Amino acid sequence: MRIIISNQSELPIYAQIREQLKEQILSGQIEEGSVLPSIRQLAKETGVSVITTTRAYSDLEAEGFIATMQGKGSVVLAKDNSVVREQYLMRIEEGLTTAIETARAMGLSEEELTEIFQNLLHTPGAD
Amino acid sequence: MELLEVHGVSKRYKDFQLENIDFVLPKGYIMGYVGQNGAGKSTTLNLIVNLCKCTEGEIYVDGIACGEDEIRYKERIGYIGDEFYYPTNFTVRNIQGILKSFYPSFDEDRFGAFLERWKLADKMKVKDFSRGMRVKLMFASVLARETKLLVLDEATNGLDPVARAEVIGLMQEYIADGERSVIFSTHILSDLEQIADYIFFIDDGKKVFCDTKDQLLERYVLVKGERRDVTPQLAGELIGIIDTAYGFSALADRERTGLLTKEFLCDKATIDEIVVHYAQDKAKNGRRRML
Amino acid sequence: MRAIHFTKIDFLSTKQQLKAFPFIAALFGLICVWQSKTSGNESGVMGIMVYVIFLAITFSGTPFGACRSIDARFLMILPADATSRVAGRFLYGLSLLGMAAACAAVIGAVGCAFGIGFSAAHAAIWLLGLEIGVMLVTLEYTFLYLFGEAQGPYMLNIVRVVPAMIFFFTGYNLAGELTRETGGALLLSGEVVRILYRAGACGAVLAAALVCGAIRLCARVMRGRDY
Repeated sequence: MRIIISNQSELPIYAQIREQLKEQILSGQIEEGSVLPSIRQLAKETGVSVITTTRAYSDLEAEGFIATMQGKGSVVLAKDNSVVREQYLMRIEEGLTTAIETARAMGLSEEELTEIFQNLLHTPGAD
Repeated sequence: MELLEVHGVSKRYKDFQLENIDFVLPKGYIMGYVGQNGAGKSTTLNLIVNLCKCTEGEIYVDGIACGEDEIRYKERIGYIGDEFYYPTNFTVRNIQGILKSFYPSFDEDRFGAFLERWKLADKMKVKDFSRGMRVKLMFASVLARETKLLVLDEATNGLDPVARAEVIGLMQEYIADGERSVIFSTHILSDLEQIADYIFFIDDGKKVFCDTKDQLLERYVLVKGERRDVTPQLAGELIGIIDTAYGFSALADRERTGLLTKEFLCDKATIDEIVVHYAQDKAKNGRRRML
Repeated sequence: MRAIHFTKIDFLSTKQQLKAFPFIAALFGLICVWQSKTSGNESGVMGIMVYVIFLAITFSGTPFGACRSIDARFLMILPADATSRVAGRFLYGLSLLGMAAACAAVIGAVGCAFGIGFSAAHAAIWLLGLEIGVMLVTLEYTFLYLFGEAQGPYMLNIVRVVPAMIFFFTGYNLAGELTRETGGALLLSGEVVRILYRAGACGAVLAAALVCGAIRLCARVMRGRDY
């Protein structure tokens, strides 16, 4: 687990924590079923206030990434959860929208764009 | 569970009044007490540690009022003031002996560990200590016993950045088990801003704001731009406009930034900036605004 | 119990000043012995007590000087009630008087070794002197608690010195008068000795009552006072 807080960031601190945890859960760096550090522990380690950390966790809980159980701490939920799927779909849409907008801006035709998409899709090891 | 309850507290002096201060601090949280010099920060903290007596109102620490049981009340509090309060002709060992005789929970080993960590020689007289060493000694003496509430009145003044960072870590460690709380006042907000859960902003003896820090920081944005772009309508929305040679900065309610056009830059505001613009607003309009 | 800890703090914080106490007491005590020996009258014997009590009264105000504002905060944050804090201070003053009495006893013993007469009447006068010392210190402390701390160092010095001076001059003159008029014969009369002892007993009760009353009064005032 890795959390880096920036004072220059546009995002408020609780959102930075939330996004970074989300990122790592989605990418599998934080495995499902693993227990996150307690709110107070995380606050202490990152030098952030308890309330700020609490907010990050409750956001993650509301979005269905983690579940907090009494006495057990916060557990990372499985990713096939529909809420998480929703998150993934949103990200895919976001990425594709950017691509489409860029293509339109430079006047690329629809065929050419689909071709790039197809090529990338079949290139082994592509990100 | 509330650890510190301050109910309708007033204190009247000839030339200054603290009026109707009312707040609670739950167990396991840190509160920053913020305001200008002479706003009433020290007065409030002195009332909490019972160095001064309230003219009106009640204060409870861990459910105990000082008038009920002064000994148990004071045992629960660790106070560090802006001035060194140990007699300066004492040696560290003298102080240790006195603390041991007054506090059953005083742990000499823990005290010794702090002395070693901060290189405070226990045979030395306190008057030969630097300001930083004195502050460290106060911290060591408070942290070496069981307390519930730390009251820090400008306590980190005079500490170098390394020691300040260390103290901040200690404060977070202190509240980590969720049973203890800290209330502090300070001028140097930047480093303590991050760890504070609640902010109480006091001005002229009266409350301006008291809520979670996140609430305060989220509510206000710092607007920067050129003065000629400010319409009269917009000027009414801006709080405490400060002009510089090449532009201005002001505070604005995040929900009322609709009038801001692309010419303006919106930035996150720090607590320092909020305090400064609040003061500017007051100076210009001659009235106090509630945040 | 906590009162004793406060007494300890007072002793620690005035240690520097107190160091001089036994030396000055010894020096002037021996001068008294010498004077008594050479002049042949007994005023010197009484002078010993007068002198050491005078010293004790002078020194008793020291913690009020040493513990201004910042030190007062230190005393006030310690977990104890106002009664312990005040009683601790009174105990400090009484201890000084006790020390003075001990010094006087030592000097008296030295005087005896040099052949100075010491009678039962002298002992009674010494006791009376001690009791008057207790009362004066009590009044001084009460005054300092009620009015002194706000007055600053100037007032403090006056209050410290005045009772000591009164004690010193009246005590010394009285001792002189007593011995000059009768050449000391008065003190040998059984009746006078009995009266002196009765006065001593009354004085003890009075002094004790005064101390208790003063502690209660000062504690009540201090309870409501800001540092």
